[in-house]
Amino acid sequence: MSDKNYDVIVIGAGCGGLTAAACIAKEGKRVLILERHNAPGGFASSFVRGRFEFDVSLHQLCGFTDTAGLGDTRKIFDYLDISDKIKWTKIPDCYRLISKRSFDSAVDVTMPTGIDEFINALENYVPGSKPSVTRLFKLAEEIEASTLYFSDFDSKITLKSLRKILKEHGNFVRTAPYSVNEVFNALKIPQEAQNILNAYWMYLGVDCSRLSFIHYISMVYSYVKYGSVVPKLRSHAMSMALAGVVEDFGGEIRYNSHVSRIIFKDGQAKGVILKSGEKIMCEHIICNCSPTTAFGKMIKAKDLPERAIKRTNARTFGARGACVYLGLNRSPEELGIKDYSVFITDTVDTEKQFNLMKSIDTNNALAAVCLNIANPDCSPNGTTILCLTTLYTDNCWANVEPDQYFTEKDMLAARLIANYESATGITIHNSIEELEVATPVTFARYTATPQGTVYGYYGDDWDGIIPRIMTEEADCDTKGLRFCGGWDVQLSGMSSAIASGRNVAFATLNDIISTDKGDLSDEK
Amino acid sequence: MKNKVVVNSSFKDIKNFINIPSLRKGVIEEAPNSPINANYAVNSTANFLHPSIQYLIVKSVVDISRDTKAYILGPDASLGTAKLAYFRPGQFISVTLEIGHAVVTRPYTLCSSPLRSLDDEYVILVKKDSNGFVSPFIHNTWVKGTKVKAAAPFGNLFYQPLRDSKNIVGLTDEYGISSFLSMAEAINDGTLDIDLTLFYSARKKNEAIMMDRLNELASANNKFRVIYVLSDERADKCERGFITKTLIEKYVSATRYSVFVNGSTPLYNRVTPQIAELKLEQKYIRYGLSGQIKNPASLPDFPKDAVGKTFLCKVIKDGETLGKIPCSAEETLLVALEREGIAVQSVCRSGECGFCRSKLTSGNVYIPKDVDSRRLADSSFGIIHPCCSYPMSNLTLIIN
Repeated sequence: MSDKNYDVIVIGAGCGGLTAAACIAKEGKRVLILERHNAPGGFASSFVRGRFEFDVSLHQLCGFTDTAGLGDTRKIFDYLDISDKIKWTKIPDCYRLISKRSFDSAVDVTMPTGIDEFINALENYVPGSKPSVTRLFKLAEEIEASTLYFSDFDSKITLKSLRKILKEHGNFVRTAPYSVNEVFNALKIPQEAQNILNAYWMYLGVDCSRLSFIHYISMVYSYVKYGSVVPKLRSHAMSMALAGVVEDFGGEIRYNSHVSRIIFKDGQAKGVILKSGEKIMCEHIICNCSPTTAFGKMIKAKDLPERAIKRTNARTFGARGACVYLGLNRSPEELGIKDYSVFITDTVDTEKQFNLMKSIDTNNALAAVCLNIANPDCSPNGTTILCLTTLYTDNCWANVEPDQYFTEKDMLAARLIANYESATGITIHNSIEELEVATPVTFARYTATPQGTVYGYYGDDWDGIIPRIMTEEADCDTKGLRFCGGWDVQLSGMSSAIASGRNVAFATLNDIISTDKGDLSDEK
Repeated sequence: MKNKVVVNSSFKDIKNFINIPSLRKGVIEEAPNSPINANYAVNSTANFLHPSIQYLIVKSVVDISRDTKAYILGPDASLGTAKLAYFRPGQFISVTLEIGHAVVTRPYTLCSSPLRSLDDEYVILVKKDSNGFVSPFIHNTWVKGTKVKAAAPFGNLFYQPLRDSKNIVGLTDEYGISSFLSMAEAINDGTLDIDLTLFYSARKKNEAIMMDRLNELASANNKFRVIYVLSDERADKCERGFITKTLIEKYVSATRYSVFVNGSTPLYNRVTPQIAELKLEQKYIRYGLSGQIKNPASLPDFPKDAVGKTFLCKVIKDGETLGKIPCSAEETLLVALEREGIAVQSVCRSGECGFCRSKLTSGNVYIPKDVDSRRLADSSFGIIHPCCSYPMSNLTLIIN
């Protein structure tokens, strides 16, 4: 048994785990991170092939603004004093959306950042959309203000509190129970404008008939109003900076350290057991891995509260990811690439598209990111980094036989490249110097995420961000064991995972204070 | 409120809002209380393809030449490896060995076809270097039944249909022949669809190991041919001299081809200027692992004043100081660690894979530019790959 005492153990060094540990260390508590892999970051990582370095997954980081104190990610990084230690580069536009194959009318639009610019561009594409879309952005502004209030919201509503809430946050309350489609329709936004506004749904993996309006519009508003950034040296720079904070404040990070069991007895977390057999006792554990993994593999069912088991069984997994990383031996100008981020879909009907993404054979959707457009020095002169990402909304990669796997990978790459070429008219296949393919199997390999899921639990209507926030404390039914990251209350995405890490850190610090108080009263 | 938004009716909207927690609780209440399924097919595939350890057993040993033996390895089910991981022709496995006090790894390219791994067999060739540390140990101790610990197949020198030309020109010597033999076997059994023209450099005909098998494969299949290039003797049906641009052009008529190079450092040094003469796009030139640099002090930018010096490296793991170990400026930190019996994860030993990723918290190291494959952010945060880092002062190193 380790003779060291830790106030908190964090399992997993993804964005959530790193942020949680950094906040805890900064608040003066002893924290230990145990990470299976040999590097920090989880999905916020990068890898080198030849003369290229690819970001594993980051497209756009939201909530990090130029202005100190504005935007949640910015606030957290300011607090941790790393905002200026990471070199950032700004993303020029919001996105381009191409939907040509269409069961419906073809779409090819480029949407700028800036609220006025965005609304005007939309009016240009869909004449008459301006009044309703302007109203939408006003609503989004109100919701941004209300979100702060509701992130600390207590689900016990009294008549008195309801009156106050309605007075100050009425629009939030009235739109919170609904999906994107329901609120957009209520605002009478023309369908063609909705089609364009819905493009970001792929970042959350829930189609707009089920996706929480509040969740979605908060993200859209952040991207449009504040724009987005990526670290110049890839998201790995962010992970290393966060890991640096942990270590600077006396925290420890152990890599290649695989937690096999969480000791959870009599309704209380007591410590962890590593695969090596080492046992480390600690009564405050933060899990950056999925509750499914923690409850299904690391804790015996008989030790768990019934509700934790039922809740886990009720949930389904969000989207599984796949990505083709291309190092091209021509410059973006030579290739004709002008856009940073392009969404390419079969249809602008998000529900139809969601269903097409259930199978490898019917999925032609992708998000293409050309890093050089935002970060021209990211690869040697005369070369380009292009990443094509797609999502699967079912376990289609579960049926691939291991000896067919490499062939399937190559077929996926060929498919995404062909789809990119036909949608954009840009030829890339003869310029490929480096090519790497990540499938759900790859993500399962590196992060141990169940089924290669990249988006945590599916944000179904009953399990979206609002219901998760409103039942947050009730759902915290494993004493001494909390969760953070993409599987947590804020759902997936790096900025959400970072925010979740901060939230769980302070919740855990409060747990420690109440435990200490408890100990004191015991002594009396 | 100026901008009052109502979705259904104000009353219904508020009622729906208040009901959110109970709706959620209702769904959870209806879910089964059965054990949580934690076995996922995608994760099983990942574990099968990329196991952290493969427990192998030597099935048989075949003498290939005066100084080379072939080891046929199978899965050791008694230790939990039921099946061998599948791979791409050209990939290697990293073998972990305990030799006396030392714990070392060595990458060995699989020379057999992936198809054969489905029948529970990997084949590796081990050439004995009498002055070496590992190869004599393997030759002396590995017999039928020896248990061998290996990592999952790894490496980037394989045919990628979207990137490479289907016409592959292989340049090799006896140190790199395994990768091309594996490709030739896979062409022959129909699992690899390429045309491979292999230039095999050796001093003498009898030093070109695996010649019989290569000739067999070449005559069985018109998609594979091999040209022996002998530097020290004339021989029937062999070229005399070294692999040159002229020689490549004599045999390769395709206008587009990819050049794959795998072999010893002298081979790399000889063929690199010849390949440059071919004026190919960089994407059509791919190298295998650079391997351990034999004489780093001969590199032009190696700090001359460090030659012959020995430093002390303080090694920390999991917050504990493991000790201060001596390390020579002309030897990688990984070798110094291994000699002291300090187990560090390592796979490629060439700077590429990053398994040995460690943090340098004080002191300086020399990293040859050509083999520095660290992430940009890693470089800026003091991370090094000990397998290609040479100490230039006393150091403090945190290993994982």
